[in-house]
Amino acid sequence: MRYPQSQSTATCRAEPFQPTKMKLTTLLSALLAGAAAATTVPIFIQPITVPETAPALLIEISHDTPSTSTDPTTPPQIATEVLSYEAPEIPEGAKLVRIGAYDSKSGKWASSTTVVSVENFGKGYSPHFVLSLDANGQDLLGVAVKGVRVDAGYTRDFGPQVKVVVAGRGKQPELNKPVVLSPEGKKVVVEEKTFLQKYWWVLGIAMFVMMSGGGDSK
Amino acid sequence: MFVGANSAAPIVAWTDAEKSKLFVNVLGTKNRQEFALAPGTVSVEIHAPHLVQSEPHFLVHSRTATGNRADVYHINLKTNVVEKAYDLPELAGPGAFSTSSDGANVYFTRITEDEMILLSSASHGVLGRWPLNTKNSKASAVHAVAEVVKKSSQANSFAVRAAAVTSADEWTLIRNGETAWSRPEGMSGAVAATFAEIPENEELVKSLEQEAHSNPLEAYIHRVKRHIDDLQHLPAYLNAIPSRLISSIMGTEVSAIDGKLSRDSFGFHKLAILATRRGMVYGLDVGNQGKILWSRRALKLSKGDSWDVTGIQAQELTGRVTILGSNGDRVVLEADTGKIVDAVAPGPEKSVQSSAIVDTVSGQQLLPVGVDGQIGDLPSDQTPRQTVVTRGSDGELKGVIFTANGSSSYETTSWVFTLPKDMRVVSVATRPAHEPIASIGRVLGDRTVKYKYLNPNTLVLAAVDDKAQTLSVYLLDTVTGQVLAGSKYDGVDTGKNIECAMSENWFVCSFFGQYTLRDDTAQSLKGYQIVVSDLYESDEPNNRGPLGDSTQYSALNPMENPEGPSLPSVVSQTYILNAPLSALKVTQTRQGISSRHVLAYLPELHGIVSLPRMILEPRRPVGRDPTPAEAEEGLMKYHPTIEIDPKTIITHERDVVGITKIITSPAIVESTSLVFAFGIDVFGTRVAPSFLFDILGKGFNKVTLVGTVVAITAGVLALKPLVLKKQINSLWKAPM
Repeated sequence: MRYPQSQSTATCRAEPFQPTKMKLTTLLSALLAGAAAATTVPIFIQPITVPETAPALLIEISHDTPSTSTDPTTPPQIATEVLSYEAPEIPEGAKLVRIGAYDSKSGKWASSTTVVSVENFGKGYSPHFVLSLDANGQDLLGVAVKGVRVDAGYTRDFGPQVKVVVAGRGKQPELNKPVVLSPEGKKVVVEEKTFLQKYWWVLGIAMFVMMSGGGDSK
Repeated sequence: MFVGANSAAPIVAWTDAEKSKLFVNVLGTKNRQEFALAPGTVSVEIHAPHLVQSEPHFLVHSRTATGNRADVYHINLKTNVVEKAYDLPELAGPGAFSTSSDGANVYFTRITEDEMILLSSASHGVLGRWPLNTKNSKASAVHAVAEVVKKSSQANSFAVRAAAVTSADEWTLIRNGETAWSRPEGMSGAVAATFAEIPENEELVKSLEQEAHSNPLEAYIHRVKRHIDDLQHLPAYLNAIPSRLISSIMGTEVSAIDGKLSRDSFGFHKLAILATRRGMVYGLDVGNQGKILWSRRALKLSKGDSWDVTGIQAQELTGRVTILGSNGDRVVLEADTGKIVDAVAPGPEKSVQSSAIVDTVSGQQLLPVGVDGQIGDLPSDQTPRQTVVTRGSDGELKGVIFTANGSSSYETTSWVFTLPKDMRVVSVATRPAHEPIASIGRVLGDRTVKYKYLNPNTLVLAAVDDKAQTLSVYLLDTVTGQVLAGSKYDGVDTGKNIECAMSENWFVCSFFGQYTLRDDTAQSLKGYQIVVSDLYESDEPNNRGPLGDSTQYSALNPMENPEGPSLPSVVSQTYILNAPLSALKVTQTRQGISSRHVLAYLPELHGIVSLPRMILEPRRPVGRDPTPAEAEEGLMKYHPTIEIDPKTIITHERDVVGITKIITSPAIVESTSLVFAFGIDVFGTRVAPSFLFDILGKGFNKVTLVGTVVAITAGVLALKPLVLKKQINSLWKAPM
């Protein structure tokens, strides 16, 4: 059963729409990227039952391939789009479901799989997907889903939400300023300015005060 | 096979495959002679003198399954014919022989289970015989080197000293039959160890259980009877009081009362059970300088094999230690005596990949995990309640859950974490099993709180890519398999040691890196580094994250908070070390209040260092001095290097070599953590990361305190009647 797409925009963002938070730089980069390469990831779901059932397609997500960001502090905002979502049919008795990227041709899971309870797809909950990408932005490490209580007061977007998280670049030590050596290999000695060079302007003021003084003599 | 002897007539000797015949050929001649060996011979050793001028005699020492015997052969120098001179009787035990030469005389020393016998190679007359006085061990020598000295005072009087290796892996010096010293050299090569509590008196446990189950009146009468029975111990207790008092005043350690093992109030008296790769298990008394209480050969291994121990667990309730090997073998010993209670012989091939201590209905059990992470069906009283994380056949990690099915339960794979291509796992770290958290957040200097991400079901996985020379560190949730955090480090030397350790809400990883900085490509660095990452619920303080203050949490269940799921916020920092680290471990204390130190072995300095958490702190301010608020928190200014301060090396000036693993255990006092490191050397100590704040130090003058109280009491008693008299007299005086 196809889930009705939200009518307002065709794009599902991770957080509720907050235009003021978008930085100018990301806006520019988004514009410049324009038709950035988008990757489509089909996510499959498999209920964990004793005679194994084949995984079924759950959701198809399209997200921009993130460029390798050099700024580790701000995570890159990756635009995502839910191409199709089908509420899963889970047989009675299954308590857990497994989700991940599945390769139907070879019959093996293409990425890591995670496990959640079947209640996440129950009534009143809307599934939020988190895609974990490796630091190079290409390998899909895994997918996780969490059913979040649908609260009409919080957001009007009742469809499935997707967030893409890219593994960051490791923190490197912050070195001090490098020691600069002169061509002979000796440490550069910064020459101190002489007193006169530093305070020549005081002399000027003193002269001015002396000149303008006078008066007051009886 | 033997080649050598003296150079007057050196020989080459060998046996046939069934060890029934011995062939000898004198080097330089073309004939070979054949001698029959005793039936049932298992091994043959040949001992011959080393000096050029020694007589051409040699001894053939053959061992059977139960005993050993020897034959002495002489070589006729003129005809180059080997003929048997005499033989020595078969005696029980493996036996050890040794040759020593003194000029032309050749002596053979024989060490058996009870005696040390000295023989001359010329005839079978015994030159000296000393009964062996091994102090308490029943082990017999298997290999020895001896030195014979002829005492010039009397004829036919000799002194012999032999250094022998015994079947219990001990190295002893036997001088004329007396053991001069004995070193437990077998303790090197330790592969697994655990702390074990000294088992309490079994009768006490039983009687306490009895009281708990009967009705109150019966329980009361039973207890009164038990206390009256305990009065018989009163004289011994009273006798011990003076020594305890003196040791408490002088500040010395309270040693065990009359040599018995007993727990003490500080929790320092524990046992350390050590298993070595030669199949020996040792029990050490941690409270008594690591004295060896018992040693037991748990497994007989053939030469060259080593015992691959996959798991060791000490159970407090039963006082037993279980050791699992990788060939399906299992040994259960009693912790205080070392008696083997249960043993399963090893199978022909490796069937156990690892083991895990899991919670089951019948307490904590050691669960063996088969090859490729298969566990198989388990009876329902041994079914783990948790998800067991195992390694699959391709090196992937998978979570295994058990579903009940009648009286047994079967396993199902719940999640699988496959690594990206070309990556392999180098280190997996989890939080310690006993981990009390003293505070759920860090109070910042401005009185806001940054809440810690305290998820007990997490593990840190370090994986490397050998071609790209990168290290990826992932934080996984072990219940769902979700990747909570990940980071990738470039320029890492994947051939060097990479290790991680995890505690509370932070983890550390150490590696060797060589790269140019991302921020400033003009600067590059090369060295051993350690990265420490803190996990918090949210980036900003005073935010408890989407879970709020809910008391229960399930990673599998949906969320009620409409904010949606959130991942922990990670704050990391990297420091450069001046020495490589290995065997990382975090100290553990009973209530988690003392600060935690990261213990690590320094292979190049041969010591164990204790790095304070205050130095390994990701929130240290970079490039500026800490503000007063940060200084209140205890943050120091960031400095890119951590120099190993010799004052933090807990092994002090000792040379500790080849440590492969460090284990820690909490004591009863909060300030102290017990540390035990093993590998080649064995080292144990106590560390107090926040100093000994709950133990009175030696400087505390108990004598002055007690003396002051006694003096004041005496003064009050003396003055009381005088003051009373004065008061009464003043009442009777006439008012002025």
